[in-house]
Amino acid sequence: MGNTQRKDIDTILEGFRKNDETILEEVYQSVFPQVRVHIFKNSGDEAQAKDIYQEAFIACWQNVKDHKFDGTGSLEAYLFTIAKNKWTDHLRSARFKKTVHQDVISLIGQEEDKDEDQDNEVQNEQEAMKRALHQLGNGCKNLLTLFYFERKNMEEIAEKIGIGAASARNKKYRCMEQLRALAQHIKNNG
Amino acid sequence: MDKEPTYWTLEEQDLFERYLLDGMDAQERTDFESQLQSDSNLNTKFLEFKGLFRTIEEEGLRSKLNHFHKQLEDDAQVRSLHTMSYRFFFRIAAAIALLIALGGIWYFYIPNANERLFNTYFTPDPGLPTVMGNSDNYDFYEAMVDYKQGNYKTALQKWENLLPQKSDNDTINYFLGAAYLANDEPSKAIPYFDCVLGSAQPSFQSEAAYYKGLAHLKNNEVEEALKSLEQTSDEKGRELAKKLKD
Repeated sequence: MGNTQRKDIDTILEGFRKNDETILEEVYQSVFPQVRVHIFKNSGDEAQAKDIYQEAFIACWQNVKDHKFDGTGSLEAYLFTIAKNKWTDHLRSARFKKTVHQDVISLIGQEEDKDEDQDNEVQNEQEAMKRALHQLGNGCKNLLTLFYFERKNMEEIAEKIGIGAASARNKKYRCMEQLRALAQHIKNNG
Repeated sequence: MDKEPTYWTLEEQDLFERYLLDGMDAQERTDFESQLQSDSNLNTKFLEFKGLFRTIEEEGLRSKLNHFHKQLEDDAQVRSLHTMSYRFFFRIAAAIALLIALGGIWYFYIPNANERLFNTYFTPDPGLPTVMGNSDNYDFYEAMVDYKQGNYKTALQKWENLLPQKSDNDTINYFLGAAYLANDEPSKAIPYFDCVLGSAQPSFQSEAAYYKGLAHLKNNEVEEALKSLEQTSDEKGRELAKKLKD
């Protein structure tokens, strides 16, 4: 792999931080085949390969944003490791233990489960936010996605949805408030 | 949602979002980060904003991932379609090759059968007795000599020269057909036999039908050969027709 073919790691990391679609897609498509092979070799199927890989990709993307990836080695290798670990976790799950051979389980090893109470609190909050976003009206959801995920500027967005930049900005503000209120409501009422 | 008191001010949202969207320079960032450390209320508000911000991003990413994955699958499908079309192509090619081979066998084998029949049943018409000295028909009989000697080309040339004057003469038409067929040009022979068969004169009807049938047989036109052979009263013709039917 020559350097001319390979984007340097900083460009990739910057692309991840800014949700650059081209870079995200390149990395996504370059690593999946390896992951797929690994999961198939370890009693997984196509749908599982896809699910595990997408979760791994999101975790990898989050870690880049949270500066948890130390930048040593390639991001592709890092992503593959995350996917591999996620598949191992999946194999360890109780549901799987019931149905699978003992020798596969012995491969998985014995790691202690983490203290999950703290995690549950965070997970509940994240879950509430996700559900809130799903319940949010499409107008708000699109606007927020365009602005925060696709990183379009306010002028572009205003033009796209056919309102003035000032009212788009105002709408975005109110949408965020609305989303927060929904999340709070879900969190408190289940 | 107007009933609910707003959680963030517009300025707070702008601030958080500038931080999260990398809109701050290094100094601003450091200032903001230390502000968060000293102001726990602001920090809480920020973390909640960040949580929702990330949720929006993640949802956006998820839908993109499905799109990326579909792209992968489509590529794989295109690849397999390619291999499929190659396989399909090879199958078609194999079928065509087989047809050509069978066609070849048919082409070489069946014609041989027809040709064998033709050779068995074809003997050139012996021609007419040549009577020298009759000036009127001198040219005709001179050609007949050539014909009888097997110089079909010369005979044909001479008869063809006479034809404009005698185009409705069944004898000359018949022998032109006979000469062409003997000269291995069945396609040229057939129209002359047709002239004979189309004329009212009875002398060469049966022979013309027989030789026309042979001409078609030589051309591997078995259907036409049969049709023609069935018009002949010649015994050999009927025998041949029967063999062709079988």
